[in-house]
Amino acid sequence: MNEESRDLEKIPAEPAPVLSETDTPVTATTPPVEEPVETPAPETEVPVAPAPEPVISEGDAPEAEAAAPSVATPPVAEAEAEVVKPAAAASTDEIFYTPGGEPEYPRFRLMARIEHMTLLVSFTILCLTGLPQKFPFSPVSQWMIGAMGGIDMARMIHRWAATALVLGSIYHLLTSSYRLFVKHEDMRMLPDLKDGFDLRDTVAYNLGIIDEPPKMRKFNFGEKFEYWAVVWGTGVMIATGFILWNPIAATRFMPGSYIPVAVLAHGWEAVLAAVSIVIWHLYNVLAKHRNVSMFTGTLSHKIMEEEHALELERLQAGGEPWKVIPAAVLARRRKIFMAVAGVVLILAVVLVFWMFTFEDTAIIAPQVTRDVFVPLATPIP
Amino acid sequence: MRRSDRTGLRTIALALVVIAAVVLALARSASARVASAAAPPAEAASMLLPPALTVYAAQTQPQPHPPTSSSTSCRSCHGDTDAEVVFPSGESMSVRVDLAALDASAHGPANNVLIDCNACHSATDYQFPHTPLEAADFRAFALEQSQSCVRCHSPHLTGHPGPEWAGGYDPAASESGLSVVCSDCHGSHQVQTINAWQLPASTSVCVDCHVNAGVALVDPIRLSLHVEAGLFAQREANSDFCIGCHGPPGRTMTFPNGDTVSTSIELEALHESVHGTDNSWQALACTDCHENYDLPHPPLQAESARAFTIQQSELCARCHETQHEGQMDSSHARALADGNLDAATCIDCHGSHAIPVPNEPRSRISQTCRQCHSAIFDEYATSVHGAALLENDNPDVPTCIECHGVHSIGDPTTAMFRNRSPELCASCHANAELMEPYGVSTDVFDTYVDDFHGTTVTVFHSEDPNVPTGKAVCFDCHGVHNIKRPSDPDSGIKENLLVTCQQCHPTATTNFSDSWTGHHRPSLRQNPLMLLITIFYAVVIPSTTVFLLFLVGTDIYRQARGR
Repeated sequence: MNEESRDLEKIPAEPAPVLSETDTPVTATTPPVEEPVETPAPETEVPVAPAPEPVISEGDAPEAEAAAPSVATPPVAEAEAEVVKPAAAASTDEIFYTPGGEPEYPRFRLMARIEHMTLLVSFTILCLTGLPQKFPFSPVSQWMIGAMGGIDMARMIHRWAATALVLGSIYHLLTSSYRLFVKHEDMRMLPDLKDGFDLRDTVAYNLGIIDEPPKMRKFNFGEKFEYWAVVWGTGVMIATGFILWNPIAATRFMPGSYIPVAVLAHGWEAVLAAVSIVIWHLYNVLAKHRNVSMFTGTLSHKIMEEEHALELERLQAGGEPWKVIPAAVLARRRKIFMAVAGVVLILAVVLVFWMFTFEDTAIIAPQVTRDVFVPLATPIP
Repeated sequence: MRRSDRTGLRTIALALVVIAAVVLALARSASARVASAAAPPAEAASMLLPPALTVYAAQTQPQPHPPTSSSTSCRSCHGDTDAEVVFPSGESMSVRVDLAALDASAHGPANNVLIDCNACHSATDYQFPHTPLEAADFRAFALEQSQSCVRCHSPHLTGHPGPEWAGGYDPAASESGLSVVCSDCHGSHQVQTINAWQLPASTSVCVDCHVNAGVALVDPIRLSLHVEAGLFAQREANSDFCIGCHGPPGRTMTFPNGDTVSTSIELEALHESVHGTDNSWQALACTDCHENYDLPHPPLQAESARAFTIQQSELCARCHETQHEGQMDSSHARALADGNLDAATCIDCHGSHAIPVPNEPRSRISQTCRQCHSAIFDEYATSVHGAALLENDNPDVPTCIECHGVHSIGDPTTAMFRNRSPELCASCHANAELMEPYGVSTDVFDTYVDDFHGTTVTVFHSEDPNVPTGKAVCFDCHGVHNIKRPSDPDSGIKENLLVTCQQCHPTATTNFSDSWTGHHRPSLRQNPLMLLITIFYAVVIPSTTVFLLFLVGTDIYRQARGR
């Protein structure tokens, strides 16, 4: 109940509430003094030591649903759940333990995991069907195309995956809007100066120049880099991909010379994305350590300490992993959001459908039939 | 071979001379028939000769002597005279002797056999001044004179039935005038050597009587046997025999269905053809293609002239096996197999008797195809390729066969042909050496392959080229037979590019055709934005990669130190 009032007070007070966390880069230099706005002095004093009532990881699913109800389509049913749950659950409920006794900290809500899964599947398929087209001369590419059932099939799969990616992106925009406009969460993904320092300190620590690794927030510099790389890349790929999918429509409102440019950009951007994912993302989540928080929603103490020390401290201090909004306020805002989002979603899906069906670029070449036997004279008997 | 033959003959001849000298010393008879004595060497010589010619072996070798006083004196008058002998029958005969021909003859010094005039025209009969001839007419004279041949030669064929005739000389038959005598075939003063008789020209001797003079054959099958036995089947054109009938114009034949065709052959055209004697190729004989032709010819099996042509085309395969196999795989052969009798056979393109070198000049190739495909030829003739070929005899431009193949002419409407066509064009257009004189870019193929259409067709459809593609290939834009210069206003490229695009993209609008880069690689002049994007990613991708690898590297370094 206190959280509700806090939230209510805060919104009119802050002129730009969404930036509140990122407005305080000073915290980077003074890590102990953290989270001035989100969880100031939790009323129920929570022991920092890992001693709270252990919730077995089965609690993951209900917790996630409660925390992330924003699957845009069936919102109302879960809305109640969210309203109820935060009231009942103490903030320390968020920390729970694996069967082995290791503490796990909440990291990703269900909507984030859905977004990630959509992206993972569509991105992988897009790479597998697209990169062989970028490098057609490689025998590997030709084998892959053959294994997929030929180039036409590969292109068809590519387009379905692209549709999934676009729908995933729309979903992300809607959930982001929900977090922004309904939950009034801070935009913790925006890069700031501290990320620069964190990068510098990480490299320095890795090289042994300094002895202490930087304490990083929920989203460290690497994750922000990846996120914005995906935003940029997806934007480029969707825009150029649309042009390639609908070149005739595209040239109604842009010069024809943009099409080969779009081809180039689409191909090279794909290479850039694939290279970045393989080198950076796969290294960080699979090679460096096995980080499956995008599937489980929680992250181990060890990785939290290593990569998100500030977030760990905040959670251990009893901070809420995500902002908690009074049920009444939430319900009111959500009603408006759902109405708007519903319209936007319908429009977006219609747009996608329109984009991907209105032009038939698959052409059958003209078959010229003609009289071939036109003898000059009677053939030689 | 011939030289050694000749040496062998000389040795034998020398031996014979010695024997003959002894014989002559014992008996002064010049007309002795000592066949058994000379038989062994004669047979030895005959082994080297075709059976029909063995009869040339001498029974007794005449004594070779230098032109005697008698010969000299004969030659002084008979070499150059206009005198004539008039037979009682009223026939006249020139007494002039072609001395040059005599000297070149089998009996002349040119062949190292010196026979003076008296050897045939006996000195006892020919005193000077000559007594009048006793013969009543020219034929009687010829018969009488032929008797002198027997003095040296075992006569053959005097009954003239055939080479296997074993009956020997029959003076009665000769005198009856029914038989042929030596000089009828061999001539008199210009008698030929054995080698000369083996030449095809000698066949005309037979033809002169049996064909041209219309002397009926007593036993026609015998002549066919001659042909089969090899008398006329020399590997050199024995065709003169056939030409005896088929040379004169106006000869025709009629097929059962009423088709009437000429059976007169133009000898000159035949000999100038690739199969003829005037070419460096091996000359063909009529019988190589027209086989099993008895005389008189049995009726043809073919129902019509066309059926005969198709039937005869099969025979080309005997020598031109590879070409025939290719042709069997062609659209023409398939059409023929499907019952289209108009489909081209070997003969339709190459001709029958007057077969020219098919690609000399090169325009002959396209002109050949024109015979049946004139509409396409007319288009081709206006194309950049066709005009160069037909007007300038350009050696580089394609004729029909460079694209369609020579004998194994495939169906150009298949997916395979379409999918493979860019490589076909590239076989010339990506060849820098070939394109250099014309200033044509050789980038065209590579830029095509790099483009969406080209990649799809040349790379992705290469695995399974039988799958039809809707992607543009060279000829979709440049034209099929009527290929023009891209700068030509009549081409589908310049002003007409949008129309060309609209063939496949009917709703395309003005800007759309600008999306084609015109086979240009990105540069500051040609689509600078492409260059810019390329440069952008050429910087961003490596730098991002290096940066991320650096970060990963530092992390691995940290872990390696156990921190």
